[in-house]
Amino acid sequence: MTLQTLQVLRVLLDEPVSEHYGLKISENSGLPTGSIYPILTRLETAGWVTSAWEDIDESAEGRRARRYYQLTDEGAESARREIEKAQQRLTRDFRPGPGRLNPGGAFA
Amino acid sequence: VTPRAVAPASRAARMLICVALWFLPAACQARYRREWLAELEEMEHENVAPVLPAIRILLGAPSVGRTLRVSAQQRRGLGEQVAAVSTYDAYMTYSHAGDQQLAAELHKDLMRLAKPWYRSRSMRVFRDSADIAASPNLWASVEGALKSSRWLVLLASRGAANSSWVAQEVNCWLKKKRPDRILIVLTDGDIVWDPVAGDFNWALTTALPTALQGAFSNEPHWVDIRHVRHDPSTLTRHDATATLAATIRGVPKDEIFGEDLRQHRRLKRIVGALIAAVVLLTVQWVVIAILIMNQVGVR
Repeated sequence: MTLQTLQVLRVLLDEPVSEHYGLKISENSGLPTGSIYPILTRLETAGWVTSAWEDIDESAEGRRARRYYQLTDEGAESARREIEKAQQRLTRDFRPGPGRLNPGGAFA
Repeated sequence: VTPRAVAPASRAARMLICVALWFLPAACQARYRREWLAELEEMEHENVAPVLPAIRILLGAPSVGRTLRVSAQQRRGLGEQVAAVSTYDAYMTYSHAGDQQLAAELHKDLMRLAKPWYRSRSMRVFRDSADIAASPNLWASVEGALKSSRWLVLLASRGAANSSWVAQEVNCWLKKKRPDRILIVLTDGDIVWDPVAGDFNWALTTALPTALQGAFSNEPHWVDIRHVRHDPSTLTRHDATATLAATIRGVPKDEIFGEDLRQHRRLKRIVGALIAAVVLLTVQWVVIAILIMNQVGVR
């Protein structure tokens, strides 16, 4: 799983009931706008995410309806697992050891 | 949406989105067009230039298209059981005595509206005289088609109200499917809803079969095309057809009209290009022929 996918999952997982749409997910995940659709499509076709049109009167709101994305129960479970795995990998890879650079900057 | 409320995305960004949509399966293009344009417009509202995000969308579009196609193939591969669930988008029931011509016109229009030039139809609509070709077991074919349709389009008329065939089809639908998946198209007679009783006023309603008695808890919407009954050919690209097509395909009506216009323009461009190519080739061959004849004459 790519880092970008994990970033998107993190955003969706942080606020599971919030209304997430393309632009907001991009902003919150720090990914460039317009670049997240391949990720969202993969997650949706895999059943991790569902999406639905916002139910608004476009004329009254003065903007078009957004497409909201939400993690499914299974998707949320899998996302948590993937993020934990990634965190464990990071901890393992950057654990201070002989000859490795410590966070402080000094060699052990 | 009013033009003032939503500023149009820049022309270049819109063009990039149009190109990006070419990478997607036809069935998904409407959804992504709406979503991507909404995003660009929102960015414009926030004074963010939409061209760069549109380029990113374009760069990601092949991947989106690939994912959607693979997913569709996997769904198709789930076996006959799943594949047979929705063979038809809609089933059309009507009085053969009164609405034969109108039904044929509506059927043709629904399948033609917003149809891409390279496909034979935009949706599958079952109409019995068109689809049951001398079937030895007529009712079995009808029942099979009803079961595999997502919507029932009922052409409501005095004839349909008295038709035992229409009543049988409506009864069959109500046994297997949801009443809110019935689309009523009024072609003749009257439909009157009684809000107190929460049902049609059957003393005044003359266009519906009594099989629908108590079927709806809320007033259903119906499309009134009584005014075109005398000349069904005027249904072409009619608002009523677009309303039905939009409901069946689950997209806004303006999108249906917009898509239809786009497909029409695209077809015109292709025909124009083909004519230009034929004319160019003809001119080229004529010039070559003249040159050869001149050479022969010189010798």
